[in-house]
Amino acid sequence: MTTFTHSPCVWHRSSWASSHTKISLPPDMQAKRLITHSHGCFPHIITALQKRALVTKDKMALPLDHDPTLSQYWSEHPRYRAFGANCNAFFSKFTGFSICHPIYHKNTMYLDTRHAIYSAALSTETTATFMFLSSWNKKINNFPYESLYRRFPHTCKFLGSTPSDQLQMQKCLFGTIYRRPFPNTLGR
Amino acid sequence: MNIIAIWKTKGRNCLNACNKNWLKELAKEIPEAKW
Repeated sequence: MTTFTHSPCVWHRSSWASSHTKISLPPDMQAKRLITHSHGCFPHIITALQKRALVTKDKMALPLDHDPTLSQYWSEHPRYRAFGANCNAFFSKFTGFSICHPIYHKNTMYLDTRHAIYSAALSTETTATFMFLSSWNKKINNFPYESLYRRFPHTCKFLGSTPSDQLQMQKCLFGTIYRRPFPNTLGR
Repeated sequence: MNIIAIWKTKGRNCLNACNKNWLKELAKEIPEAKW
């Protein structure tokens, strides 16, 4: 595990994800997303939630990024069923203990938060969803999910906030750039 | 990045019943976050 650096693998994984989710982001959000969004980026946070908060499911993951120690994960595209993913978390209620790390897109974060709130309200099962959402700052109104958080204080609880420069990223095992040396044409 | 819990009372009670210090222990394991 290393502290965040602009490693190529983070860029690679994020661009891979964006090519599949087909969401066009404004430039400022793209930059934030490239830095912070990757499902496999926070292994110690996921491990801590597994141990302390009984988490067993990941509601927004990709086959290459999901934590294999979690028993179930959901991906957006049906093709990921081939890799053991459940398809589209919105088809069912969020139940049980799960994490949800949506892409840092305003509307997506809003829809995920709304779905988690409705699931908690309507489900008869024990439900707790731990959301990883982009931080609000001075531009507080830029995040519509924050209005939901205020409207449902009995359902939502702010636990903590991690500055983006202190997020600990997982070392990526794939995507390492190997530069093959040029052949020596002079025969030396 | 914010960590927000969205739960129903049953879920919160279940966590507290399993370990009433779960949140304190979670905070210890994620020291870079402000709790």
